Amino acid sequence: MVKVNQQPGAEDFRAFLQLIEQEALRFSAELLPVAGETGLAPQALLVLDPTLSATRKGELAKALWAASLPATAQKQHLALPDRIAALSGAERFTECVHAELARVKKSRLPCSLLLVRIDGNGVDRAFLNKAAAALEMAMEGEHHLAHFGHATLALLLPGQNRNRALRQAGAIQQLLAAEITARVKIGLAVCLARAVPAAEEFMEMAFTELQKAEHEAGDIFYSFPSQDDDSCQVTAEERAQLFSFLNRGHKE
Amino acid sequence: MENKQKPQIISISSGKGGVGKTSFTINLAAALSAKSRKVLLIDGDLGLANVDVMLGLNVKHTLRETVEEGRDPLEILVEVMPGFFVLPASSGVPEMASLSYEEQAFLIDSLEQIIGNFDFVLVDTAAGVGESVLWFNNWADKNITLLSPDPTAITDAYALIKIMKTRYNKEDFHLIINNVKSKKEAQEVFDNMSTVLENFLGVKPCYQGAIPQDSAVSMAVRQQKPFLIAQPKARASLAVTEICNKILS
Ligand SMILES: Nc1ncnc2c1ncn2[C@@H]1O[C@H](COP(=O)(O)OP(=O)(O)O)[C@@H](O)[C@H]1O
Ligand SMILES: [Mg+2]
Repeated sequence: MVKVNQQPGAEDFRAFLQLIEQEALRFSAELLPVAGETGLAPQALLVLDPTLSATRKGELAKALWAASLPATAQKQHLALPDRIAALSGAERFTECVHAELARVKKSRLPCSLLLVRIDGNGVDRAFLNKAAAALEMAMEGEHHLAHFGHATLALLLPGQNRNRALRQAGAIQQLLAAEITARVKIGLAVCLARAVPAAEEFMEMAFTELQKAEHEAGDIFYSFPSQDDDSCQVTAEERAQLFSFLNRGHKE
Repeated sequence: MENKQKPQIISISSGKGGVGKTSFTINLAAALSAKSRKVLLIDGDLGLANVDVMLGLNVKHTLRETVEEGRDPLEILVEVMPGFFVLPASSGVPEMASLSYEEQAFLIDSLEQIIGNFDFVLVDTAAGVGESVLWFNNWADKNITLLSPDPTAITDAYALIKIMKTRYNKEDFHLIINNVKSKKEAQEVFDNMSTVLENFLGVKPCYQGAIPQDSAVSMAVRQQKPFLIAQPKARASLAVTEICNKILS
């Protein structure tokens, strides 16, 4: 970790960061600037092995930041020249989905998958790179982003149920509109512990929704296992029986 | 690592607040440790901790530091009495009450590193059916649900069990009826609950025992001591000892 102890002039430090960034390009490394509480400018730069897990990266950042990392610390990825090349491809992503679905069975927590297609004819590599950079800003530790064919990005959201994933999809839509004025189509699939599909099937579900988003009115479509047998709401019948003994007591 | 025995993890929940989870849990821990078992009590009410208050502990570190800074849980462990250890939580920290998926996983991982040293791990969970309550119940080997004869406590206990059965496939529920006027009343509440659980959810709960309404309980809370220690002869103390024996048998 490279860390500056006194807040430098923003300009100097930016040049310094760029220098390190250029150096790091020669290696397989990822740069994670760590900003302190006080200013917007990063105060440290962490050079990471990109194969590390998100949890491990967080641990490292925290451990290396000698005092504890301020709660408000900003994590922001610097733009690498080709982010898309650094993302997982379809094959590696399928493995991730597979592992995550196994975890759903164990933890019984849900998991969501978003397929985001950047709309429009002029979508080139540079634009896609910007989209990936913007998406990465909205991501949390365990989220996994992948590149899925031409203008499509896939985002795996462990632990997220339908409502949260839909909220995330809406946020992504707004973020990409604001940051890079891109319009997106999103297909979303949610997996619950009681009916875990195979990884390929799960991805196919999201893909079907994405196609709906492209051909029908509306930008976000989702598929969710039927809620009928998942509802836990206590029914009037159950209540009546729960309280029946109280009434009995009254009559006696 | 390998020769460590797996402890029994027991969650204590009620859905409704104020039913007596924390009072019961600290006393069960005291009872188990009095029988030479090594007990870890985790304050699972992560954002509104009470265990430290009820035990009059002077807490320096909490589980918040484990989640936020990766502090080893062993460093925050407090030994209350021989064999009875507490992992205290923080109070007034809403962030801790709604941990992200990653933080939850990290916390459970950290806890799993240390529980091998204990015979029993008791988790006093928060009120409500928030995520922390659900994942502590899912994590536990045995789910104890506390209820009282109060209709709201009955409904909430039932709702929690329904969630754990429907979403998490849990089957093994142990009921404790607290704040009862008589054994007969406890049995009535249990029988009725048991019938409804069987009729609607196909669940056959286990009767873990009952605790009478007893002024020794509230007095001990004010003294910040387990009632089992403050008034070992009190009816509530005898009841908890009986429940403890049942757990050990
Ligand atoms: N068996 C009992 N007899 C008398 N008072 C009790 C009994 N059980 C609990 N209480 C009282 O109820 C209050 C709430 O108990 P507490 O353990 O904090 O509940 P919870 O943890 O479920 O919110 C406490 O003041 C306690 O003294
Ligand atoms: Mg409590």
